[in-house]
Amino acid sequence: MMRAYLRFERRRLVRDPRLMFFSVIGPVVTYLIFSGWSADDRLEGVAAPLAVMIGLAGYGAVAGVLMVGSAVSQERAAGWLHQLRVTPLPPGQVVAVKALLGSITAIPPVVAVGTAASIQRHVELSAGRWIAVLLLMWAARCRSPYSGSPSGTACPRRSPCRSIS
Amino acid sequence: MKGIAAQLCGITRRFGSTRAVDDLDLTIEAGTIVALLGPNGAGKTTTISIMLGLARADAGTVTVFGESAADAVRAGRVAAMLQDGGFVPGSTVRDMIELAGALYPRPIDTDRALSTAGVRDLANRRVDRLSAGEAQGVRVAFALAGDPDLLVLDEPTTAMDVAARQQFWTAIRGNADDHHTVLFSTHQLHEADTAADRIVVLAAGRIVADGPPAQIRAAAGVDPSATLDAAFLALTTDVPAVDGPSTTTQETAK
Repeated sequence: MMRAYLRFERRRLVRDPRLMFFSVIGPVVTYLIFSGWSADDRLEGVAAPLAVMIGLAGYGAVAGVLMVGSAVSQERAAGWLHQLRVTPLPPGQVVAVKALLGSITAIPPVVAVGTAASIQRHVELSAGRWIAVLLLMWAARCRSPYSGSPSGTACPRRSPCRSIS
Repeated sequence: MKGIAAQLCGITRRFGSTRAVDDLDLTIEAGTIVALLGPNGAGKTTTISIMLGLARADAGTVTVFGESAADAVRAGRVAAMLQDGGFVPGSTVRDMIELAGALYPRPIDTDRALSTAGVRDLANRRVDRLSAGEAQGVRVAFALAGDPDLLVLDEPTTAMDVAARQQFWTAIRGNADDHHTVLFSTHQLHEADTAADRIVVLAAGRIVADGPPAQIRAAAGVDPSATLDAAFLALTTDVPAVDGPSTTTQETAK
């Protein structure tokens, strides 16, 4: 049951061009344009191309998570979550799927911006550091879907928390 | 006697000082098509929400196939088409109906659900690109896909054109012939007249008439050949709304 819902949501996410645009293409293009301007600077003791890479990868990861989060509020407004409540799918599984997708969307921007940085600015990190960057970004960003989606999904439809979900 | 699909005993639900549903007793026998009629604000949608476990009653008990409404929904015995139930952008009609099938324990084939609801041609369309009538047809398919024992439809034919409406009622009658139970609310009284085995008329949260269409006309004191509209107006006008907690104290939880 949950697998069917996950497959359904994954297809929807893939079809949504905004996700690709805001969380992957946007940060990569921004990196390509701006990383050269301050290539010789050091930011917080880190070479600028690397620091900008981390910043934009984090931005893309947040954008992806926020897209999934805002989709939950749209689904509430459209009555879709209400419709799901009269099917056998338990609300907890809806929350779990949303949280899972939200955390997975944090990965492509980090990989894409990292690739752009290594090709354009020859940013070099050891394999362990690349993995650490990815995991830290993922861990930091996936806090919000796990804390936000449950309140957005589980609250009664016309409760005050609707406005902040 | 085929058994009981749903039973509501002494259901009361208040919103502020208004009783949306007032000490309502209703038993729906399995295998019947029951129409729930009433003017706006009569308590139809509230009754349906309580029967689906979406809203809690302030007093009274609800059982659906012998268990709580929420358990019956979780067991896949009930499906519903809600007035405010909507679809989300980004999915196709087929995705939607496949999902509905996958959530229920004994689904019907996706293509059969689409054909029965008259939306097979729309299978590859995205749900955010449907007209209101087409979307309504997809909602029908979504509710039918799980082949539920009890189908609850809140004003199902709103926005449907004549052909879609006919197709819809053919599908619903076919569904009921397979010993399924259907409960629907509507403002289209001629539909209730032709489709329903039994009509329950609500006004101000209470049942004012209950029975086959002919019996409803008799209860209203109108001519047997009169339209159901005449009977409906006779039954539902001048029913006082019950306000405030002072009027009755019968709503002891059972």
